[in-house]
Amino acid sequence: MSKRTSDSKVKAPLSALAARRLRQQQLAAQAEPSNPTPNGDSPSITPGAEAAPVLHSKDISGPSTPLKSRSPSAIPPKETIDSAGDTDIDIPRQVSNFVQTEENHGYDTQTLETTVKLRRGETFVIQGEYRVSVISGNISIYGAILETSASIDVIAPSTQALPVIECAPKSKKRKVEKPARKDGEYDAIFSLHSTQSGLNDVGRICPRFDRIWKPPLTSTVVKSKAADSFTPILTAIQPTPVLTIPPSWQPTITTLSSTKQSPKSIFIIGGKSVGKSTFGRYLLNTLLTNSQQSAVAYLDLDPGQPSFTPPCILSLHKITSPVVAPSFATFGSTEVVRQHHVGYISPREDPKYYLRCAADLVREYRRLVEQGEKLTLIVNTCGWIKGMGRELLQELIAVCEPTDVVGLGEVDGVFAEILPEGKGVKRHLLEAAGTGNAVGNIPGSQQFTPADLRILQTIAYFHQRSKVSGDSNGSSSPSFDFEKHLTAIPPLIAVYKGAAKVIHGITILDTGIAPDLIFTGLNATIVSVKMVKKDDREHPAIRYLEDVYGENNDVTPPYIPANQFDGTSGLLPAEGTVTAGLAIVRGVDEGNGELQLLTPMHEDEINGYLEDGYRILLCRGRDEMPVYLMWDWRDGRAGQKGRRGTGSGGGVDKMPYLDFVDGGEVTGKGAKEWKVRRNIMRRGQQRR
Amino acid sequence: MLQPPRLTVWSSIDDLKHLKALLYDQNPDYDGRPQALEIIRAWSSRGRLPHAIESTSHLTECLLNDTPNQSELLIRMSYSTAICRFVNGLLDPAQKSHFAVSMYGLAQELGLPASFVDVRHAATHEALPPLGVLRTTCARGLDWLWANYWEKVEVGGVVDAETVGKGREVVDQERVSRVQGLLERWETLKKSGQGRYREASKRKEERGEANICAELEVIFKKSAGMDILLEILVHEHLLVMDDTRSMMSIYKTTESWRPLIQDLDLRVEEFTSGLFNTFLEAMQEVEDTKDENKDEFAESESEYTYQWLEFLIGLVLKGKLAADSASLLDDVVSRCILSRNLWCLRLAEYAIGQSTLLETKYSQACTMAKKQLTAAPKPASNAISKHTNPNLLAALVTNKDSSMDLDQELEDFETKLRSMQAQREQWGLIKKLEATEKTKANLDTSALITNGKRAAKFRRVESDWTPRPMGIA
Repeated sequence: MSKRTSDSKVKAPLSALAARRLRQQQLAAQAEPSNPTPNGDSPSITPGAEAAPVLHSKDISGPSTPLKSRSPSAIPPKETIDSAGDTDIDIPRQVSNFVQTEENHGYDTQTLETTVKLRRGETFVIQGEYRVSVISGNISIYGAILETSASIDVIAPSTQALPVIECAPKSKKRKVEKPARKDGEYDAIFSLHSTQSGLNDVGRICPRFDRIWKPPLTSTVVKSKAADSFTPILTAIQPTPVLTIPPSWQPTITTLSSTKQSPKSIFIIGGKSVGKSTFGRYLLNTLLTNSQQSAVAYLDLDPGQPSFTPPCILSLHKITSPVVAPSFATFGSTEVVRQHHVGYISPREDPKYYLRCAADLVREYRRLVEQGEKLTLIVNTCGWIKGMGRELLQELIAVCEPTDVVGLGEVDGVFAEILPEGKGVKRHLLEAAGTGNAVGNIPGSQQFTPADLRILQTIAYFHQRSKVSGDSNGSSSPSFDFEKHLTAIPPLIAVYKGAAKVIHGITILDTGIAPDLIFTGLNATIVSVKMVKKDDREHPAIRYLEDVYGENNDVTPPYIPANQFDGTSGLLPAEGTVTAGLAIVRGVDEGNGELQLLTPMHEDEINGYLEDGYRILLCRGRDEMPVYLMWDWRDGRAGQKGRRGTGSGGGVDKMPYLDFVDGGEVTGKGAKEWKVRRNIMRRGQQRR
Repeated sequence: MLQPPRLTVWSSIDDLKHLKALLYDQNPDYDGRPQALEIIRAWSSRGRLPHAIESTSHLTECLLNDTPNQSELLIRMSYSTAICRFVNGLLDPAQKSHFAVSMYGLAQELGLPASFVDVRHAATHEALPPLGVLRTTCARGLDWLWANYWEKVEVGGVVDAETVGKGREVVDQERVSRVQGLLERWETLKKSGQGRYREASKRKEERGEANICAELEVIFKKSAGMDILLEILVHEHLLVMDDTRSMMSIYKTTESWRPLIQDLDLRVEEFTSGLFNTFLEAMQEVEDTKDENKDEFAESESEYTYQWLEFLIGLVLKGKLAADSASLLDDVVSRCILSRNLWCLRLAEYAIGQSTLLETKYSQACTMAKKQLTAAPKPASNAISKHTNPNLLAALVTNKDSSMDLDQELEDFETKLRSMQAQREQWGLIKKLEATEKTKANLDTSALITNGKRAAKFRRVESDWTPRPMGIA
């Protein structure tokens, strides 16, 4: 996928004809009269185009408004659209090449549905969240092909390139020829309906992410109704990344989704930001909607930017319906077969444990296949392909035994080194999406680094609406609640000593902490909730607890020092350990031996595990706590007031672990963490 | 943007002061350093440590392990690593340019003796330095950290307590002129930015805007009262008409200020209600002063003020301003109705016309107020009543009687409003009381259950959870 922005510096070769068409189109766009007063008398701000003075809005609500209509043949072929080379000319770049007319776009005030009719070759890009339902014909979005009467929920904020809706050839899944279309000249008709996952309100918790739902600056949008949760975007002056995949990907995806040899196991490798996750998602959606597969297994081995879990987790998913949503909005849309909390955002810190967890997940996949499930496996890896990362990939390949390996970007060398000779592994070398680090970076607008997205993922995870037990299996559409800050949410009480204890062990990764300081390390941090069958005598954690604590319930706290088990880290061995999810230790009541936990898991779900004979252990990795989960910015002043007490030893209303002082409480040299700079050049490099 | 606080590994600054005492206090009976190292280890699992603390712990750890029964090589290697990391961690972040500046230069800037750089160099690229050199360097390192970091811990703490303890500061002339300067910058930025579409300059403009907003936010927040600052904003900028004095120019003006208003609305509590206040007062003022010599200028001034208010109301109605727009709108509309000012009434009418919710609530009162205003051509302008309350419609609907004593009616309206407010408060109190009793009952039963079964279960804290900071049980 190339998140090519419209002012891409790369000049794609244009045919003379295409160039001329493009030119004409640009002129047309400029010539279009700007219309500051669409309603005549009182000029008002156009709804839906906040902070974005609409250059020329086409009012669709008033039928009296003259609509500019161009014959479809004037639309240049799609390939030329993104590559407008003239970077300095100020023209709105086309985002969708859909040209709105009275006929092809309508809004039903009764059902609140927008109906759009597309011709082949037209593209339609929408920002926001919505349900798209196909009325006739076929459409494609992010690799998924939707046929008549199919629908899909889409979440598309500006953190990611926006998915494109296009007409698609008929899916391979059904062989019956559809009856001829009624609206002869349109190839696909679909309706758009507003949906509310709750993510729209993420700004209530973290104002930085408020903007991700706002349409790009100075864009022409199809005017949406005020209540609509989405905005179709036609043109934008601000570069707006649109999800288009490099041409070389499509044939490979077609090959990989062919049913001749199945189930396949497809292993994706590549450096940072080459589009591994995007390729994986595209392939996943294609497999689910355009092949004989009804379910696909997805093994996510990138703990830094996982697709379906919060950070620091490796996971195996069984997915039955296509997913068109960014990674922070996918919780619940897949069935998590098994997951492991590795505690770090990269395998760098503990490669051995990482590998062990990955191997355990592969075994789990094999078990599913042995049970007779025909599951294609997609394996996504992290972007560490040099040095030890390469060795790690080699070992992962040995463990996964893929049938196909997809390499994105310049990975010939990696292929040569890590792939076994002559074992019949199919190799697919494809170009990277975008140019290296340009992916995801939107010049001139807010940029989100992987670290930002991790914060977003963690915040979204802890603001999920907790599911009632029973439907923890299977998938449902994700749902979030940002109404209240976590500090205002009643926590779960978990007793860790005495007969009523539910927490049987606590570990802290990689650090030999003195037992009496364990809560100094644990309070107000993120931990994983792990479970071990209590009769699993093979499990070293159970053995350790029996040896050390026996039946003595009053030993407090049940701390298991690091390096007890496998010599790699303080974490529990992957085998026989189930990661249920993450929790925040929001407070510790040492007097009563109680922990206060915040977790999106419902108490009934956890209690169900207890009844099933599991022991629960809390494991502290190095998961980062977003400051916005600690601090309610809407309550900012209260925080400062609270801090007043700190000079004299604090009080109940102070806020621990937060430093409100301008420039920092401590200002000496070395008061900051050591931030590594990797982009420094030596003098020698200067004289190139 | 409201700057988020920093996350610290220590719970409060006192913990850090305690650590400092453990590390550096010379107590003949008790060596606090091993305990300090334990604490630092526990902290290190929470997040990244400040480099000075990490280095102190590394160097101290070396020092404590430098005992005769350890292998000399091991000691030398640990000293070397600790010193290298100390120096690198200090100097690396100081590399500000794209190209590496010499370590000596950076050390000099930071006030770090050059000998540290020498030792680092030797330990990395040459033979491991002899133990004597390493020991001295380590001790000097700890001294340097004391002088440059730890000593500031106390000072920082004191300064912190002082500045924060003072609370919000009085608005002084300096602050006023800073606000004036910032607002002027905004204006020129917007003027120069018009018709500029090149991405680079756009970005620059956006950055400039963000900076101005951030600075204003800080000033607004720190100031004891926003009134003066809002008056500067409104009277010296927002209400300054273009030379052309054409009404059309207001659209350009409102648009150019909109980002600033929205930004401050988001970040500064009560900014928007304050802004409305200032505008409404300005409106009243114009009306009051003009009265006798109804000149054209005053008229257009009123019109201009009105347009601003209408624009703001529009923003609120569209949900582009003010989180609790409902109460704000109620406040503004009811104030307008009670104002006995034609322009304000017009504004109320506008708002009512835009929202059915407001219409049901206020149209009656509005019509009445208008009648009264037209009936008594020279009304004494009342001070705009400050606190009003919605839900007054019911009272008015019944008062259909169109007697000429409209004055009386409006007064009734006001009293009803007040009593309604009082009722509401009362109701809230009762609700609260009920809730606490309910939770008490809940607690009793839940205690019973847990006592009876001693069930080992996770349970949700019962309903009366008062929000409290993370880390406090």
